[in-house]
Amino acid sequence: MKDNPQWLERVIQWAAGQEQEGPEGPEDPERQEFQEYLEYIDAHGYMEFGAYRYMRRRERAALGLDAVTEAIHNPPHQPNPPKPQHRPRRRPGLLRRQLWVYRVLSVGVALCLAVIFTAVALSLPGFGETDVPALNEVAQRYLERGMEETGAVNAVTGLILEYRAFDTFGESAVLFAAAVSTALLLNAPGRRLRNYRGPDPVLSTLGRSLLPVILLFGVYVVVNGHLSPGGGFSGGAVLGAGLILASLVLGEEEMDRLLPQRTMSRATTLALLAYGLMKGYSFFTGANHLGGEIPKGTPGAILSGGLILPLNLCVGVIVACTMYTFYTLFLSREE
Amino acid sequence: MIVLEVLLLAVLICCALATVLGRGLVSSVILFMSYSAVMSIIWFLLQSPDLAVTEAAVGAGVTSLLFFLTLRGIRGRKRRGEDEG
Repeated sequence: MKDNPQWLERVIQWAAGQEQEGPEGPEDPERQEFQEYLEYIDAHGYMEFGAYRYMRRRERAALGLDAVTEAIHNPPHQPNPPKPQHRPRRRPGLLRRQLWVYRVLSVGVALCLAVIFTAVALSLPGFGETDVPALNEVAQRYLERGMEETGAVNAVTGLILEYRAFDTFGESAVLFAAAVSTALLLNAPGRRLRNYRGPDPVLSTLGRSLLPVILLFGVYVVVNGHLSPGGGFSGGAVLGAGLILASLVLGEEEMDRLLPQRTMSRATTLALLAYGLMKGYSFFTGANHLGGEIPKGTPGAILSGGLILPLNLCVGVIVACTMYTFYTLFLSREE
Repeated sequence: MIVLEVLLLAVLICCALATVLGRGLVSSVILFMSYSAVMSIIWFLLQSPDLAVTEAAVGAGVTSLLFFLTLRGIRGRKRRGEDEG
C-alpha cells in the first residue's frame, strides 16, 4: 500500500470506512484553497478560479511567503541560462522500423487467417449434400413437423418466432438497448432541424414515387412473414430504409411532424413489451408446445401461425423504429 | 446458372478487395454497398430469400447510409476545426 498514490489510499480508506475526520480533509491544501475560493466569491462576487489563484499568489508573494512558487513562475534572471538539450532525433527511424514491423506482422496475420479460412472452406461439405452433421434430427423435426407445430408455411419464420422465440426476444432487446444508448449519447437537447433544401427535382420525384412502393413492400414482408420469405427483421429493415428515404425526400421537419421522436420511442417500447408479454405468456403456459392455447389457423391463410403474426409485427416495429432513430440521431450530430 | 454464380462470386471478391484497397472513403463505402447488393443476389441463389431481403435492406441500405452520415459528420467537424484554428 506504500506505493499507492495519495488519492488511491484515500479511496481505499474511504472504502474501508476509515474516512478521515472532518467533512473536508484539512490536510489537503488544494481542497482548502478551493474552500477559501468559495468563501471568497460568496463575499466578493464571482471570479474565475484561475484569476483567484493568481491574485492569491501575488498577495503571498508580496508578503514574502511562498518563495518556491514565485521562483517557479518568475525565475530569477540567470546570466547564462542553460540551453535546452535536444535529444538526438532518433524517433522517425524508430517509428519507421515499428511501422515496418507492424506492416509485416499484419500481412502475416492476414495470410495465416486466409490460409486457415481457405482450409476450412475447402473441407466444408458441398452445397446441398445430405450426409452432413448439421442435418440431424433437429433440422429434420423442424422441416417435417414445423408447419404442423407452428402453423407457419415459411419454415424460417416458424423457427425464429416459435422454436427459438426467446433468441429473437434477446435480439430485439439488444436492438432496443443499442437505440437507447445511441439516443443517450447523441441526442442533443437543442438540436435544430435543417430546412428542406429541395434537392435535385429528378431525385426528389423519383424518391417520392418509389417511397410508397418501398413502404408497402416492407409492410408486406412483415405481415406475410409466416407465409413467404421475410419476417419481422427483414421487413422492419425495409420499412426503416423507407422511412429514411421519406425523411430525405419529404424533409426532416415534415417527418418530425408526422413521426416525432417521442412516438418512435413509445412505439419501440410498446412493441418490445408486447413481445415480452405474448412470449412470456406462452413460455409460462408450457415451453414445450409454445402457445398451445392460441389457435393455429389453417396454414397458408394470412391469419394463421398463432402468435407469429403479432410477434412479427412487434419485431418489425422495433427494427424499423431503431433504424430510423439511428438515422435521425446521426443526422443531428452534424449541426 | 453456374456461369452467373461464378461471375457473381468474382465480382464479390473484386468488390471486397476494392473496398479495402480503394483510395477515398466515400468510394469505399459505395463499393461496400455494391458488395452487399451482389451478396444479396448470391443469398437468393443459395435459396435463402430471407437473408437476401435482409442483406439488401441492411447491408446495402441502412449501413451504408450510416457510413455516409458519419463521413459527413467527420468532414463537417474537420472543416469547422480548420476554420477555428
